Amino acid sequence: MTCKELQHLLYSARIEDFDPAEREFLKKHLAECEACKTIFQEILKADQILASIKKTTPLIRNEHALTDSILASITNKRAEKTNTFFGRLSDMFSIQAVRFACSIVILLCGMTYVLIEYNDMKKIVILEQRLGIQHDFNRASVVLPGVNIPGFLYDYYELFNGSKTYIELTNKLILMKKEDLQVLLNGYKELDEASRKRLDKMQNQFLKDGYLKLSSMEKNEEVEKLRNEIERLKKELEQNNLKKGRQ
Amino acid sequence: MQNNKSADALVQLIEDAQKGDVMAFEKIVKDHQSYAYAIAFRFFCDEDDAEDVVQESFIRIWNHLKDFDSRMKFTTWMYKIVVNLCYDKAKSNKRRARVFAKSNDNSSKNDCVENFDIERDLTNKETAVLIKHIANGLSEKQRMIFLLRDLQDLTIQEVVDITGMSESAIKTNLFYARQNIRKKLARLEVSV
Repeated sequence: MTCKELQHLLYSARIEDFDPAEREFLKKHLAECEACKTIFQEILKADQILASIKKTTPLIRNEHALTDSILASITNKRAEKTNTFFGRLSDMFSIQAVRFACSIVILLCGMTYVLIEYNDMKKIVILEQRLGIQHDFNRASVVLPGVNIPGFLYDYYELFNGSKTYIELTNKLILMKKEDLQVLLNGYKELDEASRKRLDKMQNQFLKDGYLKLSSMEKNEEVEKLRNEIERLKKELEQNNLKKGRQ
Repeated sequence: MQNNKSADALVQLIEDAQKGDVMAFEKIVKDHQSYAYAIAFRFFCDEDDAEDVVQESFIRIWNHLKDFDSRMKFTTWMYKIVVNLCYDKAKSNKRRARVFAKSNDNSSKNDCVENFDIERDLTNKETAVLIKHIANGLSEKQRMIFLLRDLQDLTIQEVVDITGMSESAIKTNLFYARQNIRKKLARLEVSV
């Protein structure tokens, strides 16, 4: 190592970072080289001043005041935040009890929803039994009691393979497969006297239960057409019967 | 053992503060504000600027406490925030200095760097004058790296984590800063 290289090293590295070989070289070299020795002493003096700066911890003028002003800024910002709707909401949800209460409410709502659905399913099954329909979700399903929950309706659209016809009544919703209604109409046409009476009885029962009110089906054109068709068929049937009776 | 205990206590305080406990955060501030202040003061050599940076740093720490990665040392994370805010403040000071150039021009001319007794603890003003003198001519980065490594005694790895610079870039800047500072100090007449 030349004097220039050593001086560069002395200026740019900390003496305590020198490895043993460098220390040994330095010791030997300083004993022989006056110029490097002078620089080394200057560096020692510089390091003493640096050590003095290092050991002096800058003092905060008023620590308490600084802490207080930091905390005041935080609480002010917090107060500003809690003044907004989302701020209040997020603050509210930061409380564990609120989070727990919300979880309970969500759980209860979920359970209620399931119970309502279960109740509706039971009604469907009863209705299907009354109509003498096999419980086959892909084919049958004539009347569904609806509730005012879109999710519920959507589920049934899915379940019944995309039923097209739905009728909104005053406060009830009825879902019926168009094909099934057609089957029902054709069936009605070919029914014998006893079966027609049975069907009429069932329809009366629907009316009584408040599920099917054909007279109120005014909003859907298709259903309106079907309703007219039923009336027409009924009249036709009655006229035929009358003719038969006269003959 | 003592270190482990205090580290656990700090982790607990951070967890409490993350949940919004202001008292826990107050304890964190009290324990760490002097470290943050030391960096800011040694960088600016100005008490007002240093206090502003410390205040802003802890507000930022509070606001981002939820993002704190517990695998990182809290002080390293805090220093990172302080260092970034120092740079930001230095930038805005420069902008302001350009506007009020005349009024600030003579601020450091009367400061005398001689006749310090380095055997006793220096006052804030003396430290400020000395650092201003020795760091004069260094870039902000060189100055910051020098104070983090040689005055705050952080490891190179910590300086890498705080500044986001590569190890080699830090070493280069550090060598240049040391060389510059030592040459200035060697010429300085002080009572030792």
